[in-house]
Amino acid sequence: MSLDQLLNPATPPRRYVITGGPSSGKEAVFGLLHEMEIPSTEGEPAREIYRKHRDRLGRHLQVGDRQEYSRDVLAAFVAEFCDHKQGLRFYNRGIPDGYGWDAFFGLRPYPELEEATRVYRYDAVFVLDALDDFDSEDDLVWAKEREIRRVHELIVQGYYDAGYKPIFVPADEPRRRIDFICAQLPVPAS
Amino acid sequence: MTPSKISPPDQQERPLLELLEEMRAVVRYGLPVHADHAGPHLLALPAVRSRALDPGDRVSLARALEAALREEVDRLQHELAPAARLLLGSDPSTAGARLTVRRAAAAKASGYELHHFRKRIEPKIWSLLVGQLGRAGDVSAVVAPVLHPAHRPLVLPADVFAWEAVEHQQTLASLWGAVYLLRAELLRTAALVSMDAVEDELVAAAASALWRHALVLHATARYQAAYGQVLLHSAADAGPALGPTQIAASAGWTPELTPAQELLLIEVAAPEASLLDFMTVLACAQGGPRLIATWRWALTGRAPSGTGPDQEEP
Repeated sequence: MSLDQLLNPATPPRRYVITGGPSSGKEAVFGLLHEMEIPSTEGEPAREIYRKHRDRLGRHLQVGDRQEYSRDVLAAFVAEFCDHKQGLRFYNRGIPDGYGWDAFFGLRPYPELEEATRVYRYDAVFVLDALDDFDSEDDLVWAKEREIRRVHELIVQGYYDAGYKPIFVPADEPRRRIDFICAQLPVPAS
Repeated sequence: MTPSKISPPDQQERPLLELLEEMRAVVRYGLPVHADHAGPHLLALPAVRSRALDPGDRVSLARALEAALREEVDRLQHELAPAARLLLGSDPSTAGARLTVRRAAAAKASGYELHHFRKRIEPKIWSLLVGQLGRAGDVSAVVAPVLHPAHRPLVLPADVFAWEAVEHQQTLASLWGAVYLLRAELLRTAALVSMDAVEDELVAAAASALWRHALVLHATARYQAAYGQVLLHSAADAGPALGPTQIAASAGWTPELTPAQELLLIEVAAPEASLLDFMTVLACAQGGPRLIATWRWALTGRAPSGTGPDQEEP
């Protein structure tokens, strides 16, 4: 199947999440997706929302602030999901990443997250394996940190809890990872 | 540097035989894992507890065990990996099937005769799965931040999870740092007492220890404001969850203070201020002189002339 077939915009919407912990090489994969003009998330909405919360509070997020942040991020994910009407699109993280976020802080999933997880379903979820055995520049330092591994595990667990069966993408060059991902995608129905 | 480690109390060993027997039961019923079929040793594995939404709830632990098994069997790179997936029922072709069906498919895929597979190969698969789960949890022990020599600058990925993980590490490192500095002062004070040092030296050492103790309380309060009463992720480990106060207490014995005195110390402590600033502000605060005297008395067994613990406030 050619890339053109995959990208055929005259097909029903197909939504694919690419996620993973920090140091999984997600930025590089999305950078290349943009270069290849494959429809995908621009930037990372959660990051901008995080910065806004921090600026507004004038300090780092604390216990009482985190669920409000989670709700804002959820709203952004839902909006991005609904905005997509036709053809294929890759999402930089998805709604169930919220489970990983909440679990990281020992919070229980809140009703809106569970409801959104039920209503807005992605067609497949790709988890980028950490680059800890991969000769990458700066990421290498962090990939070995215990806490980063924990974040990665919690994100993966969130997708299992949400009823997905993630496909694990081995650590590799971004281009080969994209080829791996595309090879897992079904031919779109016209 | 050797990392400091606080073992959760009553942490039990995980006997291999029990784990294998429990894995056998999981394999017998296949995926999904039902809470009634999941043994206690498997549910107590750090890799399982760390994933559970509620480590105190058996159903939640069983779901976490299932997810951990699915992930580990998906990642497994071993000649028996396809057979393990078929036997567990994580492969779509045997999902939900009876054991005899799953076993037959697994035996066929691995090229073994059925009875040989049941008797000889299945136990290897249980062992393989237990080993995978055990290794997956190796990273879950509660330890102080482990330090390594760095050969290049730390550059973080621009990722909210990374920012939060770093902020947590920073808060935790600040707490541990304060604890070690307090420990150093407590040790110095104990040595001076043992040497029967002159009063000025004892007064100075006790003041330094009090200052460091206040900074530990300040760092603990900062951790609690950001993350709550329980150390992040320690709830997932076996045994009672650890809190920042337990880290703070690991510096060594300190004189017992009232909650009001601890609050006063937190208010007066400022990480950027000096020992002199701290003692000046504390000495002028309501209850400050009494606190200083009580602390000094309890820690050194001595108080400067006319300044015993029963001294009246000015």
